Amino acid sequence: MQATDTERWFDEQIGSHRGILFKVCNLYGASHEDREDLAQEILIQLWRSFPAFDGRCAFSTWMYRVALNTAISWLRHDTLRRRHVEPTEERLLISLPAKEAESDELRLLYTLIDNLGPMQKALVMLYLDGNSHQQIAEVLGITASNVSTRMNRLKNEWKQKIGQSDGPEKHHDNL
Amino acid sequence: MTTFEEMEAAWKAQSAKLDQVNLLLVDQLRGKSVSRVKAPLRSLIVSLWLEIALSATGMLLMGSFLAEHVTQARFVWPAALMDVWFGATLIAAIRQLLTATKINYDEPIASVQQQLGRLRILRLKTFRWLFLTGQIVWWMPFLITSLKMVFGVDAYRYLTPGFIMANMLAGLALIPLVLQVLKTFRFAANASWYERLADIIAGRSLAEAQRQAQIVADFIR
Repeated sequence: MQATDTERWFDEQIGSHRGILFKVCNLYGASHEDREDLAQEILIQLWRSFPAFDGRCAFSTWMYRVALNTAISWLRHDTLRRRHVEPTEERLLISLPAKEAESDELRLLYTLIDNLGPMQKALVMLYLDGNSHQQIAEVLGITASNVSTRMNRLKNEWKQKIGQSDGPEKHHDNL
Repeated sequence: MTTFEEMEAAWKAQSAKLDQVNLLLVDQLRGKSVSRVKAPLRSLIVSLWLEIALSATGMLLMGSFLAEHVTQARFVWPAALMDVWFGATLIAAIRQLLTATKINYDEPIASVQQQLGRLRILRLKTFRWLFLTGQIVWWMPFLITSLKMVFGVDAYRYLTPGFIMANMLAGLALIPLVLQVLKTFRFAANASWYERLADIIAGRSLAEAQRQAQIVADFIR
């Protein structure tokens, strides 16, 4: 494949899976600026890692891995990152949709996810995106049974939390 | 009461909308913009190469100094101390570089995060160790060898063995003192690089890195 074909194919693939990028940024970035910075870093990391993509796994699996690894590292080394990243003269033209949820259910979901650790956030996102336990295990590098156990535990915890918050005197609008 | 299934449905509805959002990355992603942005790991690799070059140069200089003054014990001991310090720096930098260059972000997340955690711990331990031992090496041994190497001056003509010994012991005593002070006094939050340095030397950053590594290890189990 010639360079231009590669670039075009990359653009097409990223375009087809853009939802992954937006969702990772929404989950790991606190402010709009954070999310834009993160999106920029993920896109650059994707482009840098792209030559190593050999098609042995699905493009979405590969993109999840790169995007989530970048986001988790970005989150952990946030202060360090700000010192190392030289600001570009012009920002990449990323039009990130607002994180502000449109429904009570989504708002509640984001509230619950915000209290999770970086690895658990990745697990939940992969699960909500409809990936099978085996696919999630491939992305995360854990066993499928571990995925199943963790998700069941998390659902139960959330159920209890929602139950507590949804008492007679409290509506989830308050969450 | 909101159920998990309802939240899942809301997520899917949001996903469908996000798939329609315009992503204007095209040309700007490549070319100039990419080359100007330095990812943390890339910067680390560059700084490790620099550390390797500097410590190898230091080792070569000390090696040649040792060879020239091999019969003069008063020059051998400081040069040997510095040579060992440079050697340790070189080995530590090579170890870190080998770990860093093996990390690929397209590998499974748990594995990558474990590797990053190990690298961070290694880097923090190395920096702390080199900083503390540097209190001994970068005072008397450096003064004696550099005066001789650069100016051809024999430091022993001006400094008594007692003075040299006292300063060496002071450097040694400084290590637990620095550790104790930094462990006792915490600096104000957001005190920039100074606080970060203090956290590294006092071992707080190392403890945090080990805690993070344990979280990843627990997640895999």
